[in-house]
Amino acid sequence: MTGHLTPDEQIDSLDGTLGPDRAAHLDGCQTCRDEVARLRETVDTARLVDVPDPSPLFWQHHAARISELVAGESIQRSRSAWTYAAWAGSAAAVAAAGLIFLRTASTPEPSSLAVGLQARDASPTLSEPAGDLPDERAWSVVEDLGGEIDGAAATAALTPATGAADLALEDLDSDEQAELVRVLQRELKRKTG
Amino acid sequence: MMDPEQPASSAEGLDSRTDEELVGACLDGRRDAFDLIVARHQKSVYQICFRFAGNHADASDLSQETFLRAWRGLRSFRRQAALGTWLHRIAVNASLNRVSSRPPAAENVDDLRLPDDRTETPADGVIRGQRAASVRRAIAALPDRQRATVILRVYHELPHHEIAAILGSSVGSVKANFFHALRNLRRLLGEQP
Repeated sequence: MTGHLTPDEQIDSLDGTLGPDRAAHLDGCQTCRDEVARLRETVDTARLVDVPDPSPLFWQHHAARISELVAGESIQRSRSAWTYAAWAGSAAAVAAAGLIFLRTASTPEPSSLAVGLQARDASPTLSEPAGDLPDERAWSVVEDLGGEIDGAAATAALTPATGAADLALEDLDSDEQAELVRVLQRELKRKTG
Repeated sequence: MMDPEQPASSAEGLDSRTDEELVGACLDGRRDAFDLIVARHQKSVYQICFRFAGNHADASDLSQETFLRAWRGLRSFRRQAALGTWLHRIAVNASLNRVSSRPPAAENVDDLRLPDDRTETPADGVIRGQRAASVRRAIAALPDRQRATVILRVYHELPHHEIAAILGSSVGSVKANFFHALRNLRRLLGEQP
C-alpha cells in the first residue's frame, strides 16, 4: 500500500504499533506526519484534565454504602423466599391440622393405645382419601393446600412458627375460609355430640 | 494505617483469590467476597463514572449503581471477559444512560481541574482551570460512543480490544471512533473561546 495512512493506521501510529512498511511511508510523508501530530496534540491536551482524588475516607464510605445496598438486596431476596416458605409452611400446618381433625373425627373412639394404633394403621393414607370423609369439597380444600407444598416447604412445615396457622388462614380466600369453618364446625358438633 | 482501598472487613481468607474465584465465592453465598471485589475495582469504576458525570456526587451515585447492577447480574457474568472489563462495561452503560437522560451539570471548577502544580501562580491556575473546563465541555459534546472511547483510551489507557469488549463492538470500530473523536475534539476546542 502506498497511499496516505488510513484513520486506523494513524491511530496505530499514535499507539506505536504501525507496521514497518507504513512507518516508512510516514517517515517520508509530511501530510501524514502533520495529521498524526495533530491527533497526538489533541490526546495530550485531553490528558491534562485529571480526576480529583476523593478523600481517603471516601473509599471506605463508598465501599460501606455498596455493601449496605447489596445487603439490602440480599435481605429483600431472602424475605421473598421466607414469605413463600412461611406461607407454604403455614398452609401445610393448616392442612395437617385439618387432616388430623378429620381423621380423628372419622376414626372410631379409641378405648386404649393399642386400639388407637390399630385404628391408625387401618386409616387411609394421604394419597387415598377416606371414603368416610365428610364430602368431596372438604377434602379438596385440604388436598389443594397440601398439593402446593414442595419438599423444602414440607420440611419447613414440620416446625411451624408460632401463629403460622393464623397467618395461613389469612391467606385463604373467603370461600376456602368458609369451607374450612364449615367442616370444622360440623366435625366439632359430631365430636361433642 | 489501613489502606482505604482495601477491604476493612470480613473477607478473611479471600484476599489472595483471583477475581474469578471471588465471583464463584459470591455465587456460593459469600457476600464478603463481593466486598473485596468492590475494594479492588471501586477506584477505576468511580473514575469512569466521574469522566462521564463531571462531578463527584453523580460519579459516586453511578459507581454505587454500577456495583449494585453487577451484584444483581453476577450470575450472568461471562467468564470469557475479565471481571474488570465487565464492571467497566456496566459503568459505561450506567453513565451513558444517566448522562443522556439529564441535561449537562453546571461546571464545577473544583470537581474538574488540571493536575495540581504547586509552582504555578494563581493566574496560571485560573487559565488551567478554564482550559480544563473547555476540554470537559468538548468531550461532553462528543457522540456517546466517541466519548466513551476517548474516556477509556485516553484516561484509562485501555487497549483497543478491551474497549471493544466494553462497548460491544469491534477493534476496527473502536479505532475509527477514536480517530473521529480526536478530530471532533480538536474542532470543538478550536471553536471554544
